[in-house]
Amino acid sequence: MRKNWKGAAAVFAALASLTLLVACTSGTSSNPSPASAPAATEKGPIRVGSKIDGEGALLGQIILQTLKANGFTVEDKTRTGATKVVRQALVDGQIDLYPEYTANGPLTFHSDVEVDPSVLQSATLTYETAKSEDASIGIVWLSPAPANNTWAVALPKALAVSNNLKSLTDLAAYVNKGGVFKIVGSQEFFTSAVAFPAFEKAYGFKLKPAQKIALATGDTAVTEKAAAQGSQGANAAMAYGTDGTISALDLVVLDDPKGAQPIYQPAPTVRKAITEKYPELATILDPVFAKLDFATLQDLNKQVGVDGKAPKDVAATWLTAQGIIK
Amino acid sequence: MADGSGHHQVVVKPPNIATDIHRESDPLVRAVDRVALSGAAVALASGFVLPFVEFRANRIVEGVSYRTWSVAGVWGWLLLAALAASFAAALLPRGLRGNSLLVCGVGGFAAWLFAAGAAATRLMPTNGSSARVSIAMGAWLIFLGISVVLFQGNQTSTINGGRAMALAVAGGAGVAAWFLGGLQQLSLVYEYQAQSDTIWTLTSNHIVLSLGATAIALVIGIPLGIAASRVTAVRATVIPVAGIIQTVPSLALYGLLIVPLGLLGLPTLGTLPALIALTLYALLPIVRNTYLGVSGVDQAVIDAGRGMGMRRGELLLLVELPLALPLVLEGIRASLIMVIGITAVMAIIGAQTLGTLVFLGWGSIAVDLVLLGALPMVVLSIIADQGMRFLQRAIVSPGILIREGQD
Repeated sequence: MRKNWKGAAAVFAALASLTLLVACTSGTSSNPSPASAPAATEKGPIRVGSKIDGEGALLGQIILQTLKANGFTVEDKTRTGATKVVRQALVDGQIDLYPEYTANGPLTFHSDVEVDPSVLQSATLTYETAKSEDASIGIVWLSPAPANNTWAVALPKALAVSNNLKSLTDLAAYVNKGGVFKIVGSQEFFTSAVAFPAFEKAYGFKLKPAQKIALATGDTAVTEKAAAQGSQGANAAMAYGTDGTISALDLVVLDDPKGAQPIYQPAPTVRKAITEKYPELATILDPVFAKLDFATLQDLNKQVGVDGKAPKDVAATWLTAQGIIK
Repeated sequence: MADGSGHHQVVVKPPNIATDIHRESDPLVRAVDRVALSGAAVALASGFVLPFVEFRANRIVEGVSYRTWSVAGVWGWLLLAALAASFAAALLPRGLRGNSLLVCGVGGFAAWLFAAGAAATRLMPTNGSSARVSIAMGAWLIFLGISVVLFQGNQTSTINGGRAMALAVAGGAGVAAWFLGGLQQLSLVYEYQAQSDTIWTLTSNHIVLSLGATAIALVIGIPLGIAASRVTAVRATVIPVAGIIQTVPSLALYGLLIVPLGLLGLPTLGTLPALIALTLYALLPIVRNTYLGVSGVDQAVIDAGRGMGMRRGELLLLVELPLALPLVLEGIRASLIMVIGITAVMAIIGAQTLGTLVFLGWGSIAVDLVLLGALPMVVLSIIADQGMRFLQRAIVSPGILIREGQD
């Protein structure tokens, strides 16, 4: 009996100390201790977040390493989570900045505000709208990169060549003629009025429900691979313009001559308190984003998604080649 | 395999697979080690029929499969020979069986490592391309079969210090295959290198979250379980409620938490909501087992305690809890292992755990990145399981220990 009592005491003591340990470790990881607070001359720390996907992590690393090279202390919070997670983290002040896409401003974060469809066809107007709408909630948009990572339709090269499909105009004619077509995309791609339905409206075709395979997630690597393999009879995929995976899977992207899709340019979104404290952020980051054109971003994405290199290393190599970091 | 009969002399006996496997394989019971025999048979068949490795021109395209004997050269044949030898060893007379199984298992393990390395070296182009060689289904099944053979051999070996020697040889083979055998050419290693600066943080976050949630559930759950054994009203509410929570899918549970968290002005994403959701999941096994343990104590024992002049508190601390301890620890073990799994899902709400790698890999169809997140979770679960079993043996009075078969 005596031994049991000791045993019980031992387990409770062990668990109590475990709780304490956990409490301590989680405490130190979330807030730096006041004793080590930075001196006034030091810049930062700036907490850099990003979306969880490859391009998100890459852009996050580009921002992080650029800031570091400019004398800021930075905290790596990249790969924070999906769009909703990372945006909420910024709004709540758990991170200080992260790269976001311009059209998500009017279409996702302020979807309650009506916007003229023509706004979404213009890169400048989309950016200005996102900027002014977010200004009211204390979030600042720095300059976007000249790369449009919008929704697109990708086909296996063989199918495109044999049916001479180059643009969505060709696709509409092909589908209306009764050509075999089945596309894989995210739920949102098929239901959001500005995504696939916008293509159907602009080019005058309409898919039957059986011609669409909707996935819960929006990972284009998954949709593109399904189309490349022809899983479940799919022969087309939802894709993003700057995907690095398209050519690796032997797919081609159809042109959108009517500009039916909104424009998604990546730009740093920053908490206003941080831009007020460090107004030089814009002059540091704007020239870097200006260099991220379509071809550059696609190539960097390929290195992450296809070659499997760490976003951190890809960012470092590119920034060094550009002379931004040493 | 589960005999399920009551030949263990304990108050309450949860189903215990380990016990039954052991009994089945006990050399005094069986003339042939059926478990090791099945393990070796599965491994051998997989070695001949299923793909051993898969080659991809880059990490996302469709792969080309290769079988053990066609791709791994002499190491492939040595591996198959070791598996055939394991099969034969399982049929040996009792006296020789354990040692032979251990030797064949260790040999098979070493050959497996070198075969994987040889296959990778042979298939990978020498120029730094983005090609990948991944371990395929067959190789995983062989690995599983070898583990079974090793486990059985370890249980029945009679060599003095046999375990230590086996461990040393296996470790040595691992190091040799890593540095000389081309093991570093495997896709899993490339994925590790790309994640090497974050994977340890993710692993430690995973551990802290899992242990933290279990520890909080313990602090809340044990008093609740005791209260449930005393007060009918508490039992009638707490146990069904904890049961209902358990049936809510993890993301839905998180969805239900958003509103109250928001009202309290707490963060709705990241570590805190994950910790709360995990704690809620961990509660049921702990509360239920504490309740069952305490309420299952024989009335005669309690009367004896009363007779010795114990007060209520003394009865609880000196009689009821020690007697309930095996079940309580079993509840903690169940909670901990379950929580280690669910912590991965919490990556969706922004908690940085090993699940982050799983989702990242899934999103970019990089199977080996998914594995890179999943394998440490398997290891963590095994450590948690073995650790809790060790704790049970160490602190529970031998008289009431839930028998593990080693006795």
